[in-house]
Amino acid sequence: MKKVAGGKLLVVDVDYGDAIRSVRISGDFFLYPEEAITVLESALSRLSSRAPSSAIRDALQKTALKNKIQPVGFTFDDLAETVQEALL
Amino acid sequence: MTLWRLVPLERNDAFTNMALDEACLRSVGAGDAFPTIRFYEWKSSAVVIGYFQQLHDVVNVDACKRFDVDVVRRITGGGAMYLDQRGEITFSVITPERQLFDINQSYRAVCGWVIKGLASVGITASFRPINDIVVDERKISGSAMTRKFGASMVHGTLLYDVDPERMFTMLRVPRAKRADKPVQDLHASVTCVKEHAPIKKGELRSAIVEAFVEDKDFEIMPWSVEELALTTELVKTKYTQAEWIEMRCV
Repeated sequence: MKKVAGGKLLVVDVDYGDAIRSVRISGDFFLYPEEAITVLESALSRLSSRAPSSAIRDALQKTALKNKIQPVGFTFDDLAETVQEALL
Repeated sequence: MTLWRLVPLERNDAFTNMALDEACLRSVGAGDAFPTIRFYEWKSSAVVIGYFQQLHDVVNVDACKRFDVDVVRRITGGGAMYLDQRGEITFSVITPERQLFDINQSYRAVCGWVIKGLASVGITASFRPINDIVVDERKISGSAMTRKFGASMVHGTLLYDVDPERMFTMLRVPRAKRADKPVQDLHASVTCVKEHAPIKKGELRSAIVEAFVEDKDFEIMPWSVEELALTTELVKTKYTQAEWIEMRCV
């Protein structure tokens, strides 16, 4: 769980072994289009659970670019750090 | 000049209010309705959670059941709000895609109308990005936005009267969110119009409506038959359904 600059809250629940099996991202942020949250979650589910924060961020940014996903109230660095904290 | 529709004030349950927003978004996006401004109230108090929130993280569901408070999820992001049946002035502004500002400008525009309305009753308020209006750093209004179906919507609420104890009985505020509030005391982090101006709710609403429609060509128009039919369908198949309300639960 992370409160980011600007006051929005990111909560990440992750199921993992050697690899991330599933991710649920929740909180009071904004994301456009809203339904694309599941696309971001799916992108993360393919990563190694030992992936560095930079790799998580890159996966998020690549997916966002491809699917025209725009976060408001947080950055993909914020989200990557929150995912990594959930993996500790 | 663009013609706007101003929908007459209405009072509905929470599920209908959220379904009307979606029905309107779809009809405006399809070009079947004028850009629309609506003001509405709540037949019974409600908690409305943001699109991405986990129900049980942010809502005391047992307390809501005990006090007959409806719980519904909206199609916009942002945080959970407790909407009191007597204490709120709630609004939605729905425009077609061609009229879109960027996201931050949209919040600023609509919040600017609320701030102008508050100024007209003697309250100095300011915009606190991303989506709040504050008076002396205490939140008096919050809003949320979506863009879909070829249209854009900013909807929000202005606190006329607030009972913070009741509000925070229904809402759960995660620890991380409480830690660095501008005002540490959670109850003191919100304020309402009644604390700042001796004004009746109807008078305040008139002032806010005036600020919203100022400089606009508008007509008072009701919902179309199609919008009402879609609303009924959305209430039945989406907004009252556990699948939607508990959507983000783990």
